Amino acid sequence: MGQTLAVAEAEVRKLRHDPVELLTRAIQPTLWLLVFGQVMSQLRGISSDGVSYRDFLAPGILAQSVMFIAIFYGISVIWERDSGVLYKYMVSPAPRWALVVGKALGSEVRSLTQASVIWILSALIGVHLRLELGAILGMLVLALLGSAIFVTLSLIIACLVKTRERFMGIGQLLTMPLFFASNAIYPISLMPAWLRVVAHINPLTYLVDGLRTLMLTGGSSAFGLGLDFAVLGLSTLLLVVIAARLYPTILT
Amino acid sequence: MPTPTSSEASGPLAVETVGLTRAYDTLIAVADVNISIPKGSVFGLLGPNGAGKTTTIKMLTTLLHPSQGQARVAGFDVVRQAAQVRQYIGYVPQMLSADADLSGYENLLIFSKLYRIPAGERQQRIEETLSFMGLSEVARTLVRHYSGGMIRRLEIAQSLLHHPQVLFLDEPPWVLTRRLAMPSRNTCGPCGSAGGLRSFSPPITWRRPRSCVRLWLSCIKAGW
Ligand SMILES: Nc1ncnc2c1ncn2[C@@H]1O[C@H](COP(=O)(O)OP(=O)(O)OP(=O)(O)O)[C@@H](O)[C@H]1O
Ligand SMILES: [Mg+2]
Repeated sequence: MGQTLAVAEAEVRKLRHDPVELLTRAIQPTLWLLVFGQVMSQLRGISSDGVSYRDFLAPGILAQSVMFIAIFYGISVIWERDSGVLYKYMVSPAPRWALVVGKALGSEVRSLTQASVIWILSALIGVHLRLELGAILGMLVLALLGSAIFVTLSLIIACLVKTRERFMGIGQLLTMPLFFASNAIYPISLMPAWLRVVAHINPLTYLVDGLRTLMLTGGSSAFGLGLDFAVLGLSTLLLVVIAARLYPTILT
Repeated sequence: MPTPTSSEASGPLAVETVGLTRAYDTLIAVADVNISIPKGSVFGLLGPNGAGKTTTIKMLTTLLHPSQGQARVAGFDVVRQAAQVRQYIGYVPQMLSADADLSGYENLLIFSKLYRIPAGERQQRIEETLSFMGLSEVARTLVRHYSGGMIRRLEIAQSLLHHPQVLFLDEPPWVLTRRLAMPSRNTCGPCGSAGGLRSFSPPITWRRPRSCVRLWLSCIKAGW
């Protein structure tokens, strides 16, 4: 456990030395929320499950930005391999899973800052947010789980493709389909049948679904919070196991 | 050649390999290496570029699985007991490997935690190591602003923090020879490249006579 935290601590300390990155990363979701959200809510064509489109969109954008940060995080491991830092971690007695979980935790700091920025922004533009402590904590836990899934997925990809160029290619290839084949910006009910199937195996869908319930006063869950947490928790566990096994192979 | 007494001798030996071999696809980088290095000695591994020194060290530090053969470091098998091996070794890779986005102190702090150095001892251990390597003044500076030699010194500090029993230095910088009593320049060979290995018998004595340097001239590449 201490070793896991040490790996995460390294990430946090780096962010402290260079916090600008945190701000620049908040720009894109802000644009989504303000520009896209404003324009789309004029359309009134989208039936957004009983809440206003602006409310509907906020959890989707929160989930999306958490995912975007997480899914490109793996490139830092490729950097560390190329610079040699990773070799030192690998010869340390810390178990491989501790290294993986530590990396994921380190990235959670970014995700949570991002989530907070979007939450505050949502409050400012008048999204009907739930303000009970329980709901807010639940939301944070969900964001943590969601981020953990995509970080570990990202680490797995890094171990498989091994180079920065290929990693960026795959990352870009993955994010858009994951985003569009989810309930982030429109309800699943609007999708053609085949896309619905994809959306149902997309972890982002469960993240968004849970967030809608916990963030919005009028929000309702399509799957139930229990299933959302179960899907996200089990996926994280599975991906951590795979990532821990693959992690040493990134060196060769 | 394989030492017949390998199993009995594994106790006092810092490093022992039997038929250690590693292939990258079809290229045999390290072929049938047999080394026995007693504890408390300094051992230099020499060979031209591409001879397989780094590959050998990577196998001994558990980073790379041998294709064939066995190796024991500090008495533990590098494949089956990798976790124990890692506990007892220090390693300075050939590449610069300190984290450039952290300060020297932070680099050491993170690793003191990875090596489970008790919280009460950490500060003292870090300060001791920093001053031993002459880095106290730049401890709070980001490594990005260090010179090459300073980074090298920091990496050695990092690898000594947990008082390893066996220290692997891939391409030890000759600047440090006096400080660590490493093999002197003349062990460097015609091609200017050497993998180094230093084995301590605890308690660590920093200065060892040069006479304990043993060289193993490498002909470890296949057909070489
Ligand atoms: N990851 C790899 N994939 C394929 N071949 C490799 C890999 N790493 C090393 N090799 C090859 O293995 C051989 C041994 O390489 P190694 O790095 O062990 O040599 P070295 O003795 O450390 O050389 P140097 O003095 O340049 O550091 C070389 O022919 C090299 O091309
Ligand atoms: Mg080398």
